[in-house]
Amino acid sequence: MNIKEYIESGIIESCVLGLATEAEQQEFEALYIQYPEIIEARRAFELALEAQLLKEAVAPAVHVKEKILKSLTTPITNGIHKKEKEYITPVRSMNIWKWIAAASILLLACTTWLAYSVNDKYQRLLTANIETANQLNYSSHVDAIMALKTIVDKPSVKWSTMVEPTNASHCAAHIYWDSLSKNTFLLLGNIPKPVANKQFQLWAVLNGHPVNLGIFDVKKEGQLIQMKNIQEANAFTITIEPRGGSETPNMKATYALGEL
Amino acid sequence: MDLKIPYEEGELIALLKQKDQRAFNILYDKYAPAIYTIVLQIVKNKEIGNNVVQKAFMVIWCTVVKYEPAKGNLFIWMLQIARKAAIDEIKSPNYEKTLKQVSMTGKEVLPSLTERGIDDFGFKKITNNLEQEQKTLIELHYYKGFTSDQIAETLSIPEDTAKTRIRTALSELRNLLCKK
Repeated sequence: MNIKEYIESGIIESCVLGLATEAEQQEFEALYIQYPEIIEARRAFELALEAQLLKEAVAPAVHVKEKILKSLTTPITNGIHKKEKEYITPVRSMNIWKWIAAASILLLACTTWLAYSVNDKYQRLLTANIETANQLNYSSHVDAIMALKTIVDKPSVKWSTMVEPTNASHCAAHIYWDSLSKNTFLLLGNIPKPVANKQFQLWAVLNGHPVNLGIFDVKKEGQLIQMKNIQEANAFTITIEPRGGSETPNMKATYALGEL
Repeated sequence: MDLKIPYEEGELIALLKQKDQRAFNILYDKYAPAIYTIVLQIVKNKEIGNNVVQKAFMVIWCTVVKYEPAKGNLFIWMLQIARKAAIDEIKSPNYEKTLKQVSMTGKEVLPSLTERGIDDFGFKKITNNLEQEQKTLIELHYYKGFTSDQIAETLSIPEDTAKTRIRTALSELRNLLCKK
């Protein structure tokens, strides 16, 4: 490959500006590791672009920064300083809920929600945020993050973590239930696909009776699925059922549980 | 708050990855105007622009742990996020409706603090110096989010030709920027 031609082709600028296709971006990343002159050209363009954009700019409205800090940063800081006994309290009050709503934006993938300490809910949520954000592809998840925010950022939405009965430290999923619209959403964590002839099925539990909320397939971590609506629920269960689902849950094959 | 950055960029990034609020303040104060300017050049409305900047910085805050300095500098990474959010916005079904509503309430659409228009700032100021055809290509590709095949269709030219011309325009853009 003629590197000089490559550098002058406009491809570097295309990649820096976020205009390149995935294949072009991959080729670019593979090449600049081999050729320092490509990195040099990329840096020169980046710095010139940055200097030009920072030189003359119009400030956004003052309230923008205030809103961001309020919705993301402040609640987390408050949460860390809460007393330990409050951590164990179920997440019901408005203040804590608001924090959870904010944190849930970060918890898009839920995925590698490992290594919790049992009694430190806030610290483990923070850990999850970091781990989760690690999984995000920043440019393609803008919509997903905002979609999740739209769903969970309402006072009417109740939220619970679904854990494996035999391993309470593994977050299998999050369940979101809107007490007004009755919509139910499932945000999958890091869960394995069942064998070919089996399928996961979600159940709401109301006064001890299971109600079928539908079957689902695991496509990827961080998958957000809208399930069937439910008027009221005390808890939710995921069971492994024959493909196509069952009329009643096979409780022996319970995969995850979460109380609302 | 002191707006001077007391950190090297590496230190700032390390603190951001630890979710340090001071670092976020510094990051925002330094880069938000540049980000807002480019967002405004895409969405062409102050109110929508403010919302997009808010959305973009939330994503930046959420995903900074994933940011890899080896893949590009911090500002460029943020710029890509913000542009993507702005392009998503203008492509959303609500965009035209919001634009119409805002103009009906008589709110000012673009900043008028100076006599210059928003397109006389930053990146657009440079792209305005391109030849007309190249300017159109950058306008469609960067500011409207058209892919090369959509551009080919819009301009009634073959896709390969569109691709080549876009690249030439980008290369020329680099020359204009780096010459300054």
